[in-house]
Amino acid sequence: MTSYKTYCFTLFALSLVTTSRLSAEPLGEYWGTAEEESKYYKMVDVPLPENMPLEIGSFEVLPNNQLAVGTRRGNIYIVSGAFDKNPQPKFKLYASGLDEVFGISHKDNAFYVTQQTEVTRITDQNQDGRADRFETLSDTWGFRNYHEFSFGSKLDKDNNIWVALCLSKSYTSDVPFRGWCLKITPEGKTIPICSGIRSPCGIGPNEHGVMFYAESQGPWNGSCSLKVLQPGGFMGHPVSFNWYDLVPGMDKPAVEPNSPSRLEIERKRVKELVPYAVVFPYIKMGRSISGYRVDQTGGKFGPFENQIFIGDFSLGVVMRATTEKVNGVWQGACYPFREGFGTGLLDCQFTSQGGLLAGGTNRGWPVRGPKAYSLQRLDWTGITPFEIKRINAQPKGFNLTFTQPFDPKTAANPDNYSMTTYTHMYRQAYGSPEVDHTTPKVTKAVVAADGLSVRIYVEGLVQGHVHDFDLTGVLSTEGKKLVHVNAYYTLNEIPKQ
Amino acid sequence: MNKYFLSCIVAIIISSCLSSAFAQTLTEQLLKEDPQSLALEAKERGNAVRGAILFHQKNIECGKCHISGGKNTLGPDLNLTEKELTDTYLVESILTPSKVIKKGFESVNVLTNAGKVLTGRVAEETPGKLVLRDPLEVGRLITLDKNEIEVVSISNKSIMPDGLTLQLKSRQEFMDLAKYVMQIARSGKGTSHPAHSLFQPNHSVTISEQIQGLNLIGNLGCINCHSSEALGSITSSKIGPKLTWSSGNVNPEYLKQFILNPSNAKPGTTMPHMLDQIPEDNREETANALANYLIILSDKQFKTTAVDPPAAQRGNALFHTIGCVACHSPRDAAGTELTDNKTLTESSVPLGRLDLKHNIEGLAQFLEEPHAVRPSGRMPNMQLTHWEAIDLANYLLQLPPFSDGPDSSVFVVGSGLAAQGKLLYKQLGCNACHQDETTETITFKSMSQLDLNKGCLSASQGAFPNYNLKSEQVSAIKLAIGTKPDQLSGEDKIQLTMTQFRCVNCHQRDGLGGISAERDNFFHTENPNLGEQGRIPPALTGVGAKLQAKWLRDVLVNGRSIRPYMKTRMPKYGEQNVAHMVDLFHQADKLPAVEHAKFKDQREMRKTGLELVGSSGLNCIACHTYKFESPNAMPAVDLTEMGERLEKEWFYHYMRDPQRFSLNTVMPSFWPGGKSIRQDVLDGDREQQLEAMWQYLIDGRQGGTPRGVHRESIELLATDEAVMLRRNFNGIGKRGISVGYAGGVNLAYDAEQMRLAYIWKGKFADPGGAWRGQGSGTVRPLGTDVIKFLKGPELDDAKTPWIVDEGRPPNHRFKGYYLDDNQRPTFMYKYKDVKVEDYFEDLENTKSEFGFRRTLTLVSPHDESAIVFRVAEHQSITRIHSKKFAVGESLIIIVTGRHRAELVDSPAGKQLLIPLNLTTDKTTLVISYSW
Repeated sequence: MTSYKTYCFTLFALSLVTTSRLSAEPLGEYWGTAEEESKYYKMVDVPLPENMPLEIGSFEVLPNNQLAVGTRRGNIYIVSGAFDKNPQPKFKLYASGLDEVFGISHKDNAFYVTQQTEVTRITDQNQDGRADRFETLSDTWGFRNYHEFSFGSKLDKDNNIWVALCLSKSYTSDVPFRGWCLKITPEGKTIPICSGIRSPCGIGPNEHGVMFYAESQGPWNGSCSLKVLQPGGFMGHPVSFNWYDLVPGMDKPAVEPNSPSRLEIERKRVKELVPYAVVFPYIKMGRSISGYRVDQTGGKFGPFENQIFIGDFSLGVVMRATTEKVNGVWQGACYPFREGFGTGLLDCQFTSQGGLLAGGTNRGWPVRGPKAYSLQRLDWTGITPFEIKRINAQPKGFNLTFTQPFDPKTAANPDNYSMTTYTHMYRQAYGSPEVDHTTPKVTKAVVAADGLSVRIYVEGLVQGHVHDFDLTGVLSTEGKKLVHVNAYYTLNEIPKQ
Repeated sequence: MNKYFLSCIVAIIISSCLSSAFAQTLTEQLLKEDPQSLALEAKERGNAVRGAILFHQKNIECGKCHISGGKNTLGPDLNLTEKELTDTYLVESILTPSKVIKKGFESVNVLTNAGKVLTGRVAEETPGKLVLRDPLEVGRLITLDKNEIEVVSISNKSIMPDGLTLQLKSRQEFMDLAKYVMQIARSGKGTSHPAHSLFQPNHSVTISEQIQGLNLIGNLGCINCHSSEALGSITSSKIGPKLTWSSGNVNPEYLKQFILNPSNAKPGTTMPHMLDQIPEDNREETANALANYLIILSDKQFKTTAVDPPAAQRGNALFHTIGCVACHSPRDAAGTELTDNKTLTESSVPLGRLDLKHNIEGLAQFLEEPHAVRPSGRMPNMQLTHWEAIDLANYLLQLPPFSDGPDSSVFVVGSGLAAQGKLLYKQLGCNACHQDETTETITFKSMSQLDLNKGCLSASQGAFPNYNLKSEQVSAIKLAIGTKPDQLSGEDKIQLTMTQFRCVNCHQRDGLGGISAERDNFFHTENPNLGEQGRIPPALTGVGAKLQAKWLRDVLVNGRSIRPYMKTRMPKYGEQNVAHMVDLFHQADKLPAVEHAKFKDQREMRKTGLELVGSSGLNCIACHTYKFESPNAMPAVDLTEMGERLEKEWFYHYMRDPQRFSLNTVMPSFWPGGKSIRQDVLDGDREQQLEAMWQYLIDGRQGGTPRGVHRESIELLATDEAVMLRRNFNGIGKRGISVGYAGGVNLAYDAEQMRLAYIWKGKFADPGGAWRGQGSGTVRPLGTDVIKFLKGPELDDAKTPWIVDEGRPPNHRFKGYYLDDNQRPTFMYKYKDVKVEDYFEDLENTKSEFGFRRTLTLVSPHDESAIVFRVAEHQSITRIHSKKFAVGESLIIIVTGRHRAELVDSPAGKQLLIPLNLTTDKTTLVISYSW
């Protein structure tokens, strides 16, 4: 670090601060699957230099097997060696003095960085390995409160950056565009996309290339969810309606949502309201879902090609998600994947070798992972786990695909598919318990000839509900249980016959 | 002079002269004073909480001899001292222990016939023997034959060493210690616990012949050939290494030599002499055929690479610190095993000539994941990083001293031999132990069908392998062979597993096992303040009652560790090998039930718990780590993991009296004699206080931060180039950018209102407010001489400027910045269509010109004369000469260049303005600041 001529050194001082904190809620039980998961996905520690407080906020893979890491403390490091099988990485400071880097993208020797204040194009004009030009592409939004976080996507196919802007606090939008998504063009033009965001913690395309974001549980959000950033849409939290006045050609929704209600009811009243595509039931599937990426490694990361991998800040887990468009509405399922990360995850990223890097910090909010700073990588061991690969909605039930052949006897038995459904209150108050429980019945399970998929027929599908699967009874051909027996499908729409 | 005293002296010599001189004067001073007034002072000004911590601290260790509830200890139990003992007496006893020695605690001097002088407290006397309690080593007894004794005389010297106060840093510490001792003494007679501690063994346990037999049956893999359902459920049967791995990773020549005569190649191996059953003349060719078969099991070619000496050196350090030598023999500097040169008498797990056997890559791979090759877990996974494994492999593959170098005989692959070897492999039953799934295994008689006087257990030679067993081993096996699972108690099963996996080499449980004296000096700590508990792996006595099942499983199966100060690592043994221990421990270890305190309001209870944990309560935070931040004193186990780790019942028992659970602990007792030393919290009720702390602890990392946690303070400093920080600044808001310059000056720029917001000298900034917690705070300038400028954009319309408020000026847009070679930014912004660049340079660090030179460049697409640049606004601005102005008391501003600055009246007093007349050519303003 001495070469950077800037020292951030620490002293020990007695502090008498007692921090104010959120009322203690349990962080929830572990899935209890870490040991089994580790047979298929090895967790590799990428060692950090001693005394380097690397609070990872975002990642980008660069040419030549280099990694760029943007941090909450406003640095960008170029890391080499992070993708090696047994990493001994070297960190080089590329840029510093930025403000919470929650989005970093690289193209044609330039970085496109989203920080709290703005989207910035950063270049190294004299090519000495350190950034020297920082051009503000857009800082159109207001910024008055520390909680007004900004999360930026990578460049989309037209080189735009999509920025999701957190509300001022949970309940207010004090300055322009808090609670909105803005699209920033390469020329620095700012195009408002949609309103109604609460507290985003990740933004990027789904596996079909459509821009989504990760929303956190809170007011108007009963649980965390992935939502589609539909132009002209309304993401659910109405406090940001006051900024429609600043957007020529976009009309404020004529109707405001009622509280307390159900999203399924309100989306019929408020036509702009976009239902959550994939709900992550609280605690069962994280508590603060964060950065995500689609597996496009061409199979290097195992059997989940073209699926979403998403981290969680509170619980330090990585989960999977799949989405599909049914009757014109996005919906899909989420699945447990890997637990036991060392810290709260803020972003993840596939490496050129097909590993999944994940990192973050445990600062500020309750986090299960004990480490203040940590960078870890999941490497597929080459052994395919027995997992639910994906769930797709069908007119009378679901189609379930597995990663490994199942034992046809257990798979054909409808009793081995137990299911409950529920939804959350859609309301102004913070979060929601699961409500309106039902127990549908699986009447028939039809096994496909390849032994990899099952069509289940369900009596009692509930539109708008999360369908919570338990497949404990379905065994592999070797008689083994699924690594994770649960999955959660958000059924906004039932496919037409 | 005793060892205790010696260590005091050593400590004093190595500590700085200043502090030793101080300790000396402190002791002298205290001795000079009247004990009665000292006692009064201690009573009034002493802090019993701090005293309690001192009482058990490594350099004082009062608690080692004065054990609460202890009988036959070196010092009197302070709880049980007579009521009439005055505070003055106690103070005197601390200062001059020999002044009054409590009856029964005198020491004796013994002169032996051989002329040796021994000192100690009489523990026991019989007509023939005198047993002394050794004052140098707590718990050690010296037994003397009376015939050997020449003279016994009562000493007038107390066993308690003089000069304890030499270990104290201040008068206050003396008062604290004295106060605590008074509190213990006053807490009353007879309220203490039963005489001996719950979990301290009073005896040394040896394992029974039956368990030894079962251990052998498991380690020799008897039931791999001779199946036995009963034994299979009792003992973990060791299987041989995966030969598909050995193929390519073990030198073929070694394989051959090893097969030919295993204990020749590796003395002490559990691999039997298989070829003992065939005629001696055929053995060489048989071994050769088998080796030929083994090398075709993989495509890998065995190749050796040279040892890297620096790596080997690092490996040496690892080998002797992380716990390898708990089972394997330590080595001397030359690399000779201590068992070889007889320095170490006890046995070790043999390694043989690893240099002849492995290459670096293969051995490192094995060390990194031993269970992939040897799934039975006898060699545990030491949690090595890849690079540590390589270092260790380099060390282990160094050429041993006095060896002739690698065997020159090169293994020759014979054609057709592999097929022959394959047949032999099957016929000899090798696969019973090596268990290659692709190969057929022949079956042998089951255990119950065997005649124990024949075959492997007989001394004769025949159509069976030779295990080279000693007669006592044979009889132990014979004794154990008929064991039925229900004949073993839970404790028997624990003992068996602890023996099989050599847990006993590091851990002691109920008197079984523990570190041997010969290996003791290979167990180290990062922090000597923690005393013995900092380096000795914890006892497993009562562990089932102490640790929650999930945590215990995590420790056993996943090698979870909570003691970063301990250099010896807790390894992983594999789920299938040791996971059953979790239930066994839980069933075996029970604590007497405790009634937990009742409470109404959990939130209040937690709050009180937080208070007690903090420095104004019982000050746990003085020694315990909190969220990875360890206190200065010592890095004791992290407080935030207690709730996840410990059983509540155990917590209640332990906290009442830590020494009952662990003699080595430096954890103080805050409830001596059952009475709290904090009478002001929860009415001094012990159970209530314990419950409050427990309620706080189970909150884990979500709990509040206790008072007194040491936290890093952050300083961001510019050294020989500029450093930048974009963050929330007081008076600017969230779009502040501050820059620290190498010249020792700093500025904060407002990138929303486009203005210089403030400047200061000296140190740059503390970003703690923004980099801690959720980041709700502001950055704090660290230096001095802060000069603030008023809000509002500097460049604006001359006639109708924006009316300054908390909002954002509508015509200004920040465009970024670029850096010069010294990382100094040039800010860029637009005012309407005027492009502005704003560059600050730190001036020479001389008295006359200490400050900034600022160069502004403005480019307009058209002529523009209706704008003005506001340099400063202040109650008092005076013109010194045409270009030089004094702003307030200390700031001097000089405006040079084509444009003239003007002074006008303003609501705040005076305004220093530069009216601008822009053309399409570049306009430059130069403004200097010194203050």
